[in-house]
Amino acid sequence: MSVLVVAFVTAACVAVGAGLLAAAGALPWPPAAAGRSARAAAAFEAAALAFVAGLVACFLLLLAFDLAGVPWRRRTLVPGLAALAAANLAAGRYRRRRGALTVPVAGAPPGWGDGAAGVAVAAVAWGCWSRLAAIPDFVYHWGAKGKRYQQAGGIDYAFLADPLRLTDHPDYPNLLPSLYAATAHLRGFFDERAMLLFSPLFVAAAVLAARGALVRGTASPPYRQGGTAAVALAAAMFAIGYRMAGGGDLVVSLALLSALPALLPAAQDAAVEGRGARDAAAATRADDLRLGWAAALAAAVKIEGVPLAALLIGVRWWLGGAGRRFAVRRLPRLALPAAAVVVPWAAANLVHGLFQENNTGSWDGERLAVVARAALEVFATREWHGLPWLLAALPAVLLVRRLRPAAALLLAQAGFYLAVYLTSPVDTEFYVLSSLPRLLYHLLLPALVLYALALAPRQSGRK
Amino acid sequence: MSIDRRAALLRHAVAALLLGWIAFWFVYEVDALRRAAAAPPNPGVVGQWRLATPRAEAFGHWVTKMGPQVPQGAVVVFTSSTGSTTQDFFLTLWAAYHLPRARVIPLQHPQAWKTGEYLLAYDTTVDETPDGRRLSVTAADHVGVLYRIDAADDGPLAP
Repeated sequence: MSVLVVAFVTAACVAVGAGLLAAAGALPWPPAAAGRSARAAAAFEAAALAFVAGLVACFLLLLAFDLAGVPWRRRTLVPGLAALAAANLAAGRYRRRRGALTVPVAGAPPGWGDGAAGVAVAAVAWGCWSRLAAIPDFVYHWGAKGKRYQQAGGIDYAFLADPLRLTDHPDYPNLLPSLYAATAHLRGFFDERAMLLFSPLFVAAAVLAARGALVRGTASPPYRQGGTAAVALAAAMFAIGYRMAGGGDLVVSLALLSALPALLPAAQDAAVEGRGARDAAAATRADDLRLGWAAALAAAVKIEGVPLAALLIGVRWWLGGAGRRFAVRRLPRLALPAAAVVVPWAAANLVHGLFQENNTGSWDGERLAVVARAALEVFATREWHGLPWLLAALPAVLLVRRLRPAAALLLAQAGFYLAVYLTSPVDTEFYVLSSLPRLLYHLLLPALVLYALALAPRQSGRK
Repeated sequence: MSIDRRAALLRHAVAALLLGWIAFWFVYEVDALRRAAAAPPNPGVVGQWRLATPRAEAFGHWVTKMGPQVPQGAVVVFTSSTGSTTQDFFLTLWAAYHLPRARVIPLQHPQAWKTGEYLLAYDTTVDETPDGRRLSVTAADHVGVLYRIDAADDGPLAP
């Protein structure tokens, strides 16, 4: 039953997201000439993108229920999710009849790297099923909130604002605990296994997004397969070893990887190669939309996801694709999903006084030495097995023109983390030691994709 | 061999080494998970407890068993025999996770005796409160006791 309820929620999210993307003409699909296996692989990639958009859309539905005073119960959630999925799928079908269902993208057949990725995701699923890969914060924070929201039938602001509350991060965005609470209602009780089984799905979707970035970044087949395998194995290695299941960092990583293809200008060329300006504009619009939903997912999960969303939107807006840079008319499709998530979150935090004092502080350069010492310790984290040192090569990727926007974005997000450490009025050393190993997870996986693209020989026939 | 060819070989070697390194440590972590699944770790330090480890599971079963005796929204003060503020803090977080219907705080909390309505004592017993209020046993077993803390004005009637 644990598996069935997770399958139901996932299917609902994918259906909602697929409908949304199809209705907007942003569902990626390779041309028939790409071959059956390439189309099958692309279907998985499209499902991962739809999952991202669907997660956010379903969360917005829960927020709407909350605002309207409709309690989250099985009798309200099932019809609500079904109606949302049906409406979006109907909109997608309508658009398909009008010939705007998909945007052509390069497809790539599956290979040995995809097989390795499947093994990696299966290993994460095993860790989640045994519950041994669960993050301690699942008990202290994510799961505890999920249980409270399940009891309250919605986001329990009284609990979050309770001065006696011990649970950390009352000011975090609420997608993950809300997902857990809704799943608990559908399941009938708070089933830890069901909650944790979302984690391998987040990893699988992230790996599919990385694969999509490698395909669209035109990596040659061995590097495409090797890159996919490296991202999946590294994600699983750390998720199992450091025990990351049930926490929000897997989702932030999923959001960043889902946005990555839209930050690769070369992908734009590959997608619309040989096509006219109309198709180029459609591809730009599709990339904007997909990045918009990915940014919204980042902003809906963790507080550091909010600046990440702003960075993603800003870089993509600057990139322009086939459209003009900073064109105002592109802003709604880039920023509307994130705004729909951030505005209610910020308003609720202000109304209930949830923002924490340690979110802001004055710049203290003297903390730099403490941060550096602690960061060196974190880089030696046993469960990372030396991989954080790879980030030292990230500035070199700035030299590769087509990868520069994505590399700059990762460096900017790393800079944001450093700024937080230098300004937060808390025990800096403890703060770095307790959070940086997980924050590196956000940056390392997309960095591996960029390294694979930088090292790979470009495929012939493409720019 | 041309410079281009050497550069290409170097790139392939770097990529292959990196992938091999990651694959090796992935297998290592999966093997560690296999060993943990066969014999779950059982740390004595509560801060190292994880789901599916024996002490955490036993504690969770006990708190869940006591749960129905606690009314929705009640303030539950938690204490234990550990004698450590840190251990008690983490135990309180675990208790709060398993008792979502209540507001669970540690005995060391400044508001504990002022706001507490119930006292959950794990592996220990409590005889009296600092302000002389009565403790009545609501539920008890070999693991611990759930007390109800009577309100300050609930004391025995004056003669």
